Amino acid sequence: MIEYRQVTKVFGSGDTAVKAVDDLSFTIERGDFWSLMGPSGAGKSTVLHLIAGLTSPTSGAVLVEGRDVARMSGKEAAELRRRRVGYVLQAFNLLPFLTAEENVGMPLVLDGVPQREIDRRVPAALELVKMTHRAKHHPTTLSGGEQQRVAIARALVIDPAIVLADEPTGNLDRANGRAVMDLLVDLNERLSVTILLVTHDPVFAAMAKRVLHLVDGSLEQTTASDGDGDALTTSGRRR
Amino acid sequence: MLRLLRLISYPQLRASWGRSLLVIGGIATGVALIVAIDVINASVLAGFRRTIERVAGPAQLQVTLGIGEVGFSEAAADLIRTDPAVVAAIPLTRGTVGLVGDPGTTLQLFGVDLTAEEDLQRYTVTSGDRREILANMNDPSSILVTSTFAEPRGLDVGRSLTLATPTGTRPYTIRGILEARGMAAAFGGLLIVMDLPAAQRALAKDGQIDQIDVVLADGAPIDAVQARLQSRLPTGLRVLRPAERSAEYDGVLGSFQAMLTGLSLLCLVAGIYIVYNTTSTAAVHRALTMAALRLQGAERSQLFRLLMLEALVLGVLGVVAGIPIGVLLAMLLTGMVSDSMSVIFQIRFPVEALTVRLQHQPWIFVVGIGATLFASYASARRVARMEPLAIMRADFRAVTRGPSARRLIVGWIALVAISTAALAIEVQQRSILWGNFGSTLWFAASIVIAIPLVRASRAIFSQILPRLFGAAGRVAAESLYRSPVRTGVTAAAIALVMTVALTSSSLSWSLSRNISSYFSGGFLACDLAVSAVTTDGGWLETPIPDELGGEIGRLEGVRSIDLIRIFPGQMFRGERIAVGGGSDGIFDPDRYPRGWYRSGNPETAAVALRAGTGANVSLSLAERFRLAVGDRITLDAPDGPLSLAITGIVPDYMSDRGSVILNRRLLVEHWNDHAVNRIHVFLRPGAAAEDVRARIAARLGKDYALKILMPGEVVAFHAEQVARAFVLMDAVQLLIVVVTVAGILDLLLSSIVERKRELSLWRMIGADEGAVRRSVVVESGTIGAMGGILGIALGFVTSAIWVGMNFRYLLGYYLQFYFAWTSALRFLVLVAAMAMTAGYLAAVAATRQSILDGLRID
Ligand SMILES: Nc1ncnc2c1ncn2[C@@H]1O[C@H](COP(=O)(O)OP(=O)(O)OP(=O)(O)O)[C@@H](O)[C@H]1O
Ligand SMILES: [Mg+2]
Repeated sequence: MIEYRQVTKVFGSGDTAVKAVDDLSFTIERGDFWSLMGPSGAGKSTVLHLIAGLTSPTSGAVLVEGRDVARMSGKEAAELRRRRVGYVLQAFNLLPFLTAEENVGMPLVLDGVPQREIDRRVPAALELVKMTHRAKHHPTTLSGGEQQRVAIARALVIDPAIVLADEPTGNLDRANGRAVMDLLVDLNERLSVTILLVTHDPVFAAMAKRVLHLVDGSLEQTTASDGDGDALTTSGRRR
Repeated sequence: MLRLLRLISYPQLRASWGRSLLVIGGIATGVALIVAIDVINASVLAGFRRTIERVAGPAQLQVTLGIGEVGFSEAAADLIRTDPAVVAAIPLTRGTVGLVGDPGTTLQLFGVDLTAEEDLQRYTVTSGDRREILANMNDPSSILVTSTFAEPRGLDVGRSLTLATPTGTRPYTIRGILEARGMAAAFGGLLIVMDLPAAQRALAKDGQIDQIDVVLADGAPIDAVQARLQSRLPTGLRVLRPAERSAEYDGVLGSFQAMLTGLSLLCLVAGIYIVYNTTSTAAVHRALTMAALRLQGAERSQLFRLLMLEALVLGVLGVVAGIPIGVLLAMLLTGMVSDSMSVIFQIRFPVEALTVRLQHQPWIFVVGIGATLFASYASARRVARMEPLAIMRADFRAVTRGPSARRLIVGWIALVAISTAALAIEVQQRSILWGNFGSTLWFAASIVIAIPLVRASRAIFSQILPRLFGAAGRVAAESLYRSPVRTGVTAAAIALVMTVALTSSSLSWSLSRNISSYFSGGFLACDLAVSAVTTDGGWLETPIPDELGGEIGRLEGVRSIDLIRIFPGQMFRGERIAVGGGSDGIFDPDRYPRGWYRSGNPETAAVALRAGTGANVSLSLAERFRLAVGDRITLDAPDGPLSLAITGIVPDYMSDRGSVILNRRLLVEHWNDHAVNRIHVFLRPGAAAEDVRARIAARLGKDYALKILMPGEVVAFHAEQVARAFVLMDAVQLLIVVVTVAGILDLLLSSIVERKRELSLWRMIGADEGAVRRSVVVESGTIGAMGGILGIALGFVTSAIWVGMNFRYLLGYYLQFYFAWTSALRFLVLVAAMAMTAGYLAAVAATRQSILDGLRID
């Protein structure tokens, strides 16, 4: 589903060069749910950016559904984000001048989906995140957790194969964070959506099937998890 | 795409309605000016044509000398009557008279052969018995007035009216009222009809007429008769259909109208620039939205199309608003323009109704839309190409980064090269079209160079500002050069306004200076200038009899006089030029400043001019017809061709197309014209000008409506006329200034919005509000200064091009260039004040919000 093949991403050059991702390799299978942890600046967001084709690796290859993302044209990468990959950011996910339902429908509008179908799919997505009652609200009138759920609905409305979530719970209290996490787990279990989640919260991280620890752009260790927060196996960093 | 327009564009455009309005307004301004000038041009021409046709009435042919502004002998009428196909040949003489007691009103006086008119029935008398009126009209004090004139003044048959005619003020008796139809409707009804001999006497035009209207027998072949008459009449007299005559004026007025069109094109450039600025700043604000859309899978081309569609919609709105505004502007400005034209052409241009050339509107529509798309293209492309990640990191430099300095400089050189080539072609071909094209491009070029210049100024300002203003200065300098494009664009906007303003003020200043050089110390210098009060709408006063010169010459304290007579409408090789006649004193070589004669010797010229064998020609005439000293020039005088040797080439502004200066005696002999327009008076040593003025008034004031001016007043009078001729330029200038100022404000304000976050950070680490404000005001003041200095530099070159080249070929005036320095300084102060005010407003906006709010903005 998602494959990293010896991927390195360097920003800048010379003395100021930063290796955001350093010779990273892993494979996420269809239906997996991984979480990504690590200190700030470890390269977590960059890992997601590379998958979504927002930036390209300095060396190595990132494959999504068997296709090298870096080789895609801008058009194809856009289509990937529009149809296959739902992206949830930590904040500023929603367009402030659109209502919740308009925000959710936007990828479909971009894809030229007929309005009738949008009218059918948007309420379903909002229902999934339990936000139907807020459909007509503008983002400014929603709580942080609600905004995040709307953002997830927008990621879901396209029936994504993959959801990339960059600290979706970062701004939320535990209860709201928990609700968002439950939603992701449910998605993964019921719809077999492949999920890659970035989080600083070990409890939430442990809700994934596997936890990757990223330090300075390399995998420090990966932990298999039973999805209930208890670690099963831990493998150290291979040098 | 339409859904995106509704979901994304509509709310955003509505939220920043000020900016959307600015885009619409920018296009609307450009379009409105183009429409207004088009409507004004059409209306003035149509009004003029209507007047000619009304005056012609049912006559199929008209006989005139040249285009009919110079009189000729009435004997031609008898010759025409001998043609078998001619039913009637009706002579007409024309002049302008004043209304005593109402100096603002001037009337057209028509002298007609009323018995002959009976056949034509051009006039309908509404009151009194026709036959009785005819009998009464033999009395030289009888007049007919129009109902339009009589009714509001409560005048009726039998009442007396005192007119100031060229031969003196005299009471006349109203014998009948003319129905406001046909001829009597021309000139807005400000028309007085007299019997021909009486009118000739009143106008000092004995035996002279201006026009013969020819009525042909039914079924007579007009073409054949026209050719036959033409071959039998003396050369110089022309037989034309009324429509042909009015068509000749299309060419005469064409150059002025083309200049106005050029002016309206400049407004379009300003409009394009405003749209470009506005969409560029809007792009910054909308970057986050666009990045979010990209993250959701929007394609570049999709966003590009969306933005262009937006531009199209705004453009359509702008054009749709611009066209009616243009018509409205035309309503307001037509009077102004026709007044300006009457100053330049010495003809009255009555405009009764607006003429909108519908067939031009689709073109204007296309031009307006094209301009919007052109102006929006750059920012649309930039927004569509932005990297979403860069924007999410709030790296606005990625958004504001414009084209590289090298590309701009190359572009500038290309634009300047093309515009230079166009101006060269203008000079070569005397082409108005190329001139318009060249100067519009030059104007556009000045905008392009601003950004590299601003970049280059970095070294200076990043030194000066911290030294002058400390930390605030350092922050200001840092911010100025972080995005040189934005700074450059703002400075260019200011420079643009300055350039327009300086060009127009330098034009009128140059014209004023050039003209006053005649009167102060030049060959037209005098102690007192005496003339009629009335004019034909322009600056030239209506004629007075030359005997007045003799009477003034005999007054106590008067040493000598000069007489000046000007024919503004003489035809020469198809162009409408002026002929000026002067008495001997005018040619005195001592009166000409050094270098006044661009060619020819003042001493030998004076001999030939005084002998009536030579003529001086204006620079414009010499260049237009490639004439040189020693060549001969042949004028169509009423009594046949008059050939004179060219003795000198001199500057002169009597007419836009050029002028010929000769001995007034020739005008008396060959044109049979005994009138003068001005009498220049020289005093004996010790005589006081005030006393002599009073003496002239006492002697002649009773019988004539005279204007007696001191030298300073003469110069002031002409300066006022120049101002009248340029009033439209000033109006246009004001419009550009207003719209551009709005653009500058937008730029300054949005630059602050972009920097809210860092300004908040700056405050968090200890800068107080005062320091933040100071730095913003210093920043915008510096931008204002840059724009102002750039504006003066560009304004200098641009106005030199306009005064020295465009004005010459567009309008025909050869001017020496004087830069309006005082205006330049005034504008500089104005610009600095405006920029600092805008900066202050922005600074207040920046410091109003709390520090934490500012920090949270991403
Ligand atoms: N466009 C860029 N240019 C230069 N350096 C960058 C760029 N993007 C990321 N980096 C650097 O790459 C490294 C990894 O950044 P990344 O955003 O992936 O970290 P992260 O693990 O998501 O951190 P956080 O938990 O704080 O979000 C950082 O050192 C960052 O400074
Ligand atoms: Mg991150």
